[in-house]
Amino acid sequence: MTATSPLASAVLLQLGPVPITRPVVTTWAIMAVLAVGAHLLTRRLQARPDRRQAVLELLVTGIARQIGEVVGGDPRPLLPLIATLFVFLVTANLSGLLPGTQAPTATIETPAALAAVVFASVHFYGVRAHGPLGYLASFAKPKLIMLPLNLLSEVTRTFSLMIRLFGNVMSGEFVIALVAALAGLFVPIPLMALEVLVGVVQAYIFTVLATVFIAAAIGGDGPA
Amino acid sequence: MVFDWWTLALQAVNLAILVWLLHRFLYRPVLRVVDARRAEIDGQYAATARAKAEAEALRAEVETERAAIPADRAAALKAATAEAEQAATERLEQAERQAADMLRAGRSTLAEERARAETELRSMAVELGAEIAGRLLADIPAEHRAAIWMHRIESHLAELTEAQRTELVAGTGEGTDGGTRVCVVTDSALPEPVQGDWRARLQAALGTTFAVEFETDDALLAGAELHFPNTVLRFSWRSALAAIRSELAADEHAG
Repeated sequence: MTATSPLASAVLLQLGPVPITRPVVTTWAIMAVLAVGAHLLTRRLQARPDRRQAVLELLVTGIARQIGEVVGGDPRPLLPLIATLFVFLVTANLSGLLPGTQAPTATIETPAALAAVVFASVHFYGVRAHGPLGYLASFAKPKLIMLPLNLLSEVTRTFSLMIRLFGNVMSGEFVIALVAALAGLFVPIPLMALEVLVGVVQAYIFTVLATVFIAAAIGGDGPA
Repeated sequence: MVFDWWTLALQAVNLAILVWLLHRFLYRPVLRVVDARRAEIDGQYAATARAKAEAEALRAEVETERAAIPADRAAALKAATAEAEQAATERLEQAERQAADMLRAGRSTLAEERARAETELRSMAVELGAEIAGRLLADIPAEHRAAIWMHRIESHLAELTEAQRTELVAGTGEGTDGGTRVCVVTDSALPEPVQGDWRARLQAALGTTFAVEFETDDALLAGAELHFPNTVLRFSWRSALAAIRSELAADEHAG
């Protein structure tokens, strides 16, 4: 019997040098569900929306409005990334509640990948808004002495983004697994309800922080 | 704890793919419908605003027209009054012109008729005078009347120059083949002694001898005419009346 770390991702299959781990497969499943579900939901959109379409429009326009309030401008360019982050995180965080399923965000690689995408997006939108030199110059504001701190903050805030999501989701799953192993099948239900709340809140926090970071890069105030 | 970089990379790629999928199947269709509905609503708002603006403009136009009605009415009444006054003035002036023309024509006609009546009256007076004088002369014996006319003829011939007298008797002769005779026309037949006396006195007045024959013409009324070969000397009332009528006609045309 070999003891495996709960923090390690199980490799389900190996494609050459590329190991396909459980979070990747779960993510593919989530992607499939979301894509197919979105396609099914948006097949017959009408000018006069029914209840299903109204909820869908409310979700999309609500996210867009939130982005617009943070950015202070047109939310359309950021909508695909930010809304996808939120939808994916909510789905991924809650997927751990399904029996036999582990949330992809409960392993460090997925939050790291999301944080890396946010990190890259921040600089992409910053450069696009101000140009390379203008964006680089924003790191030296308000004083040149702030340059090292700003550069350090770019790394630390991305790291904190990753760790916050990973720690909350992973700890929640650990607690639920421990309680279920020790106390029985139905005892962890209140904890699972709490985990639903935690999963949604963490998805919201991650998304809002990503939006704030990108908005700060676009707005020219320098790195937040 | 083992960090799998392949999983990180795959998850990053997965996120990118998911962004594209949801953008393709969720955000774009939903936003398209929302935008279409918003455009429709904006269009309806714009149409409503246009309709409202048109209604406001129409109301303003109606109010302007309604406000202008009294002024238009006053202007129309004023124009109609002015037009009526002008028409009345024109008709009055036209009537005055027509009356003046009629008065002028009447006066002209009256003057013409008066002138014509005067001419006729004068002519009648002349004829009446001639008739009265003729009747009075009829009571006088022919030899006495002939003496009067002969005296006048002699006076006239005496006033002529010698050349004129010679011109009068040019072409005359004494007898049947000596030349043309001088014809003496009187209103009534002269007795034979008077004829001999006239013949002698004419030859004496003209200073030559020539044949003289006598004829009568009632149209002369009174007096005599001497028909020379080249001219006629009239000492009759017919010629006098004709001269008077010519003068009257000349006066009438001059008037």
